[in-house]
Amino acid sequence: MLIKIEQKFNRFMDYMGNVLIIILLLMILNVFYDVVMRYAFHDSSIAMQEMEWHLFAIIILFGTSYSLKENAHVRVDFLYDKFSEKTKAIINIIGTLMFLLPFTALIIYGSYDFVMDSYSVNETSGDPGGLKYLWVIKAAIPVSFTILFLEGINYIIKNINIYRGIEKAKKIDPQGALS
Amino acid sequence: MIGLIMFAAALILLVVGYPVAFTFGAVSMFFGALSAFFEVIPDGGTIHDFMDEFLQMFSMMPFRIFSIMTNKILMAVPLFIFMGIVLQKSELATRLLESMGVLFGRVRGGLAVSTVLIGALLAASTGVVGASVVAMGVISLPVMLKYGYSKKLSTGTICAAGTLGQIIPPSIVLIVLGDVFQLPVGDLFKFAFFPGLMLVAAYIVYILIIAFLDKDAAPAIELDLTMTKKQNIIKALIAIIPPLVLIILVLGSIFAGIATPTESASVGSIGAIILAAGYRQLSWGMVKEASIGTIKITAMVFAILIGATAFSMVFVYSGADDITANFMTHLPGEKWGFLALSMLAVMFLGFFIDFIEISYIVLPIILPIAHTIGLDPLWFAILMALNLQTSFLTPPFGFSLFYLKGVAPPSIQTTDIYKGVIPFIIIQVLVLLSVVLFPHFYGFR
Repeated sequence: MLIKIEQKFNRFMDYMGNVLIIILLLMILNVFYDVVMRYAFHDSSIAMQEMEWHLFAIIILFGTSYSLKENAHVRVDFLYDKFSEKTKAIINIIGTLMFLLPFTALIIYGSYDFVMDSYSVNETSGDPGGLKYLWVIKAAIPVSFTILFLEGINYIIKNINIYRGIEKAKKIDPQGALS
Repeated sequence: MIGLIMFAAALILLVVGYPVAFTFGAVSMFFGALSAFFEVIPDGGTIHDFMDEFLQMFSMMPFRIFSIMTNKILMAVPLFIFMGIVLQKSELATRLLESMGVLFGRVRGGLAVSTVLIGALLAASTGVVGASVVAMGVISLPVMLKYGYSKKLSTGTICAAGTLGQIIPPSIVLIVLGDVFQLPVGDLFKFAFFPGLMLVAAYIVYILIIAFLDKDAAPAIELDLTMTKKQNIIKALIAIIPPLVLIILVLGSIFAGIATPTESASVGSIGAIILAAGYRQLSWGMVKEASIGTIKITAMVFAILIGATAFSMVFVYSGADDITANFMTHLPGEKWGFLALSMLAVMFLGFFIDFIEISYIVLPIILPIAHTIGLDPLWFAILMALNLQTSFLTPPFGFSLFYLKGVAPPSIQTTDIYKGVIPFIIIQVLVLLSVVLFPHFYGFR
């Protein structure tokens, strides 16, 4: 049962990861396009420039939960590495319950007014030619943290599965470690 | 006072090993609640007032997060990481190592010197320390060992050369420091360049001296000469020139002030894709892997930044910043006392935690003090960058040491690596001191 929930949710996260890949590539092309337009054609579009940070914001906000699923968040690991898989699973379960979920919930709660204020006055970027509907990207904060909250629950389930020995822990990929 | 207890509590809790970002976030939340409690309740406030005060404090979080989202400086991070991973996946390191080794091998110590030079090239192009150390550990280390180089010298050289990515621009440390110090990243790149070259030069001189003094530490080698010298040189040039042109374009446009680091990084990313295509290494799978790696690292930095933001918010709310400032401005030796203490503190923390946590948690605390004392922020930032770079090398928890141990042949003991890096750490500290003592030589005011 728990395995099934985890697999379902993981599939959703992988799907989101694929979308993020596309968005990253779009961001690179977006910045590159703006550079070429500015230096080669002396033409720049405010909307396109604002699009750069919109894409960047989506990557960092939604990438956080994807990284949790991929176990790519840095830890101070000189002790952690020496623990058994079971101990690690317990640390992750307690840590998620005590640290990740409450902190995430607090941000979701706090960002409600932040988004609603923007929505109610129909806030725009303020620059002429800039993007409208600023509340949409602001709403990405509560939405992405809600996904992080859900992934947190999924992470607990995953670690319960690891603790019960049904699942093998994923090795941390060195690519995810610090550059 | 609560802020200082929070600092200690956070460090202790980190050791357990739960991801740093969320540990910091949650610890700030609990201590934020605690300081709101002591703020409100003794004055006769109710539980309701306390909740209001607490939620009020954290209602700033969305604004902080939003300013991170719109941060143009940080946007350079994924772009440079993407460029680096693409270059790394196009086997840049392998080609460089194979051809340079042949060119320099006949000199005593030549293999080690070429490793340092390649480390510098990789630093300027990929800047991914882990990847550089691993690549050199896999390719260069067996060659050096095979030809009788001492274990100490070969492992030390690889760790030190691989870590150059932290100081030679473009480097993520410098971008993060630019963000924390509110300095133009282009300036940091410019001023880090010369100390970086100084390190390279110092490493090379050290290796040559060792090779000269101890005949067995780094013998000259006779490689098989199936190719003529001319063919070798041509092969080496094909490996070196394209990435070098890319580096010069990217860094040159930043240094000349033509483009911002973010803009140059996007050009560099596209350039890296074109190079990969030129070397016939480009595929959708490779781009996909590079993208996933980029997203993970970027999101990890961002998560730590959010946790750190909450942390510094509570730290300031509880008034701990004033206590620290008061203490740090009344040290003996004033400016020098402050400099020594902050450098030692960062170096000490660097043994245990990463540069990102240090940059976003510790530096915001000491930065206003440095400002009050009147230190040149650019100079202070470069000193910090050199200091943080050293933390990659320091046993027992230096990242580079782990990476090398992970790929080194079993004959290499962890203690070999520890002993090997010590001379290079000393060189690092000497170069750091030279920047402290002779700022004008490095172009600081």
